[in-house]
Amino acid sequence: MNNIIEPTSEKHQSSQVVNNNPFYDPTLIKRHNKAKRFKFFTIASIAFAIGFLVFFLADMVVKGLPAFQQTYVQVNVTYNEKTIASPRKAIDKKYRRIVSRAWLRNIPKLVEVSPELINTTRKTWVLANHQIDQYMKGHYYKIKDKQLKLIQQMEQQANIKLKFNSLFFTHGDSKIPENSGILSATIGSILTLIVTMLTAFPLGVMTAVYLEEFAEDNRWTQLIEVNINNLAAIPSILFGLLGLAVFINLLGMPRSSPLVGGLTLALMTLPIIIVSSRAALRSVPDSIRQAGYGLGLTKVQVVQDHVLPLAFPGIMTGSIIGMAQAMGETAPLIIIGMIAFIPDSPGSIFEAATVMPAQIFTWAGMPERAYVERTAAGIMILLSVLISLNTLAIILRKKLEVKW
Amino acid sequence: MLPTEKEKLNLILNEIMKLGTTTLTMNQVILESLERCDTCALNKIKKIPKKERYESIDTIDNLIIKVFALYTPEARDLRELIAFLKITNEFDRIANSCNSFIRDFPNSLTDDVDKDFILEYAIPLQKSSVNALTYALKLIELTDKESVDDYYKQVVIEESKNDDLYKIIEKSLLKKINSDMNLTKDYQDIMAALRRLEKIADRALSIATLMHYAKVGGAMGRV
Amino acid sequence: MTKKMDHRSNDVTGQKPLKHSLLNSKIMVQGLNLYYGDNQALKTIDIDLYENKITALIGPSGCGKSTFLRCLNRMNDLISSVRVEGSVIIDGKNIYDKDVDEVSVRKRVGMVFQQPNPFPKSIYDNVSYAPLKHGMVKKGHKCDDLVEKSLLQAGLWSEVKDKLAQPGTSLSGGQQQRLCIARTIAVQPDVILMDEPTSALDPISTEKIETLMLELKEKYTIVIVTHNMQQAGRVADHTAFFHMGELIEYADTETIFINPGRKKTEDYITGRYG
Repeated sequence: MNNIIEPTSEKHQSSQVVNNNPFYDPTLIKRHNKAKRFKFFTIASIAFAIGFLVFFLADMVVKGLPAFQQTYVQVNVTYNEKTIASPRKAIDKKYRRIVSRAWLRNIPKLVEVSPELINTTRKTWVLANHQIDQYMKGHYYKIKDKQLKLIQQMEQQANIKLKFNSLFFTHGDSKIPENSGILSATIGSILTLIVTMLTAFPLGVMTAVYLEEFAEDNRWTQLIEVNINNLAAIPSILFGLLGLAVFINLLGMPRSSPLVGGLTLALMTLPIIIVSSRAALRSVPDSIRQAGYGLGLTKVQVVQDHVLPLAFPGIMTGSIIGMAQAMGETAPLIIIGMIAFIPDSPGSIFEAATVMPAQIFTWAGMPERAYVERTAAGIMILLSVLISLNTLAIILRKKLEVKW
Repeated sequence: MLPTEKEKLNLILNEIMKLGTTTLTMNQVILESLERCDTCALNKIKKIPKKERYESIDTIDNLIIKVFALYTPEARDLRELIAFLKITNEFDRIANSCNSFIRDFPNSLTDDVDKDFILEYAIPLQKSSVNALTYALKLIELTDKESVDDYYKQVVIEESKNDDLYKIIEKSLLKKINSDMNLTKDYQDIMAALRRLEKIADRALSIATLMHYAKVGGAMGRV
Repeated sequence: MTKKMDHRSNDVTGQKPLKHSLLNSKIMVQGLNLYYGDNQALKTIDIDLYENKITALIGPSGCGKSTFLRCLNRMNDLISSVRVEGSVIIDGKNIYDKDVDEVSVRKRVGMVFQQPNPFPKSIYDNVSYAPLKHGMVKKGHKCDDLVEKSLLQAGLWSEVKDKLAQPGTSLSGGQQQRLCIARTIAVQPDVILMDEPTSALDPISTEKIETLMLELKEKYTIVIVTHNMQQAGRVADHTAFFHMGELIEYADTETIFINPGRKKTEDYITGRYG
């Protein structure tokens, strides 16, 4: 009964509303609902994307954080001539399997640096084996029972500890997992990027200035424009092949060097810089140029003193974004050989080097379990660098924006 | 307002004042000659030749048109310029009336008519005309509303005085005609001449009405 | 160059009107044709613009008045599809001759645009930039004097003398336009072209700039394009009416506004156009 009554009263109400309210429009309800559904879908997509991002980041962080800690054991180390010659003998037999080979290898150098250590026996914190390390971190390990007991004993004696892994940041790559670090890759990345920027930035900006300000609007320039846009879409690995063919084979530049890597990445970044610089130049209002010409200035004066300074923030932003992209490129650099095992940091742009993404790729392929966390840690560091570069771009753009 | 526009408006105002002053002076001279009973002197009053009058009126009119074309004046400026455009006409008619009076009155004062009687009325008649015209001219240069209203009232008073005076003269002269039918034409000529003087006051009132409209606003027409 | 006595103010064709006996021709335009690609935008324009006078170019949108104005300082050369025939003779030399550098033309014939477009630099730099580049003054005392003089002439000095270091864009619209005028004057041109200089401004700023124009005409020859006829009436000595790329009538401003010779002119003036 209620149902029968309600519609009429609703109708009565709505007709009353119609009588009193000149803005009443029943079709609006449908439109508002449609808008609400649309809004819901957009929010859902963002939530989805954020969810994925959060999942990915969480996974990385969880896997990577342990890499920033390293297990050290406290044992007696004997420094004398015998042990310098044969470092294995510097510590007690029962601990030999536990400590890291790399640390033992380093004893002669240690003695060289601090000669007072000779003929002494000290209790020192020594880098532990990567299997021990994995055990301490709660991951899968392969340790013989005898050693396991020893370790448990040491735990009780507090002779085994997890410390901050500073040598992750000071060592280069190594076949011994506990000894490996990201330093050489970082330096390689920096050198490569410097070469990239020094090549791509001037070339790109000047090309953009020419195309935008000086070139006539004919078939040739249109052709060039189309080609530049296409270049930006070419798979990056092809640039690697180009680099291999031209720089290494034809010009004979040192393989795997930041020089070749930088030049290859420059080729890749060039289209991006050109396109964004052109957009920045185009965004300078034409009235400024007209004012300049009206005062009897030459084209070069107008471009140099008025247009470029105004376009500069946009150019900077585009370049930094291009640089951030170049930093994360792996495929072209693999082709030119930067995937090789490079333990030492490169001293110049002509020496062999590796870059951070390549390093991560290498570590991801290593069999030892200890490399898993290092891969994740490497990704975290690379991501932080990229995010800070992009943030820098945004800050610079906001700060240097000229208000009209 | 651009200086060029201001210049032209000032120029128009000066020309109007010049024209007004010339007209007023002529009327004052007429009054003086009447007062001195010197009807011959009336003949000697220099009439402003038509050509000269038209020249100065045309100058003013064309100036006003120029200002309308170039500057599209509004509000008070618009009202003033329209008023000036019409006032030039009024001054012309006053001058015409004066000229006609100067031409006709001495001739109509034959020895048979009662000169003293006529002059007794003619003088106050012209006096009130002169007063009306003086106040009307003053209105042209005024700006504040209260003074405008005051002066306008004065003009109205003088004009009605003038009207009444003329009615009295008419009645008296008609009486004179009745008493001596031979002098009908003479007295009629005199009445015609004196009517000219009465018209001057009417014109002065028109000028004052136009200036009142210009300064105070409203719609054009009798207040 | 002075012209011989020829008092025709409008002839029937309307094309070779207004030869004044007492006025100097600063700019003589002869047989000017302009093409945007295949489209003819200006058709055989013949006109003399007189020295130290303000000439207004009026006409409906798209009639070619701005295009014509830009021919006077060769700004149309910046557009690649433009082709110009005929001559524009300034001080006896055709500016379209091969041996004339367009940059030097623009130094003598300055331009003020519709939208105020000060450089995003300080007020001082806005005015001093071009003279420094042209080598007219060196940085320092002389430059300061030039900036002050230009700003004084533009009627802006008293308002900005304490804030010369502030950006030009921080001024109001009317002040910005006066800054652009100061900037143009600083280069010491002979002619100032103005393309609808006050159409983006409010009435009070407009009046300030119109007063400024009347002062400037003592020293400069001014040609202004305006779509506001009343502005032509207020400031211009001579007015030229353009329609569809042709010069229909050119005469004293009074004549155009009170007694236009051509029906087209009258239709436009009275608003019966179109």
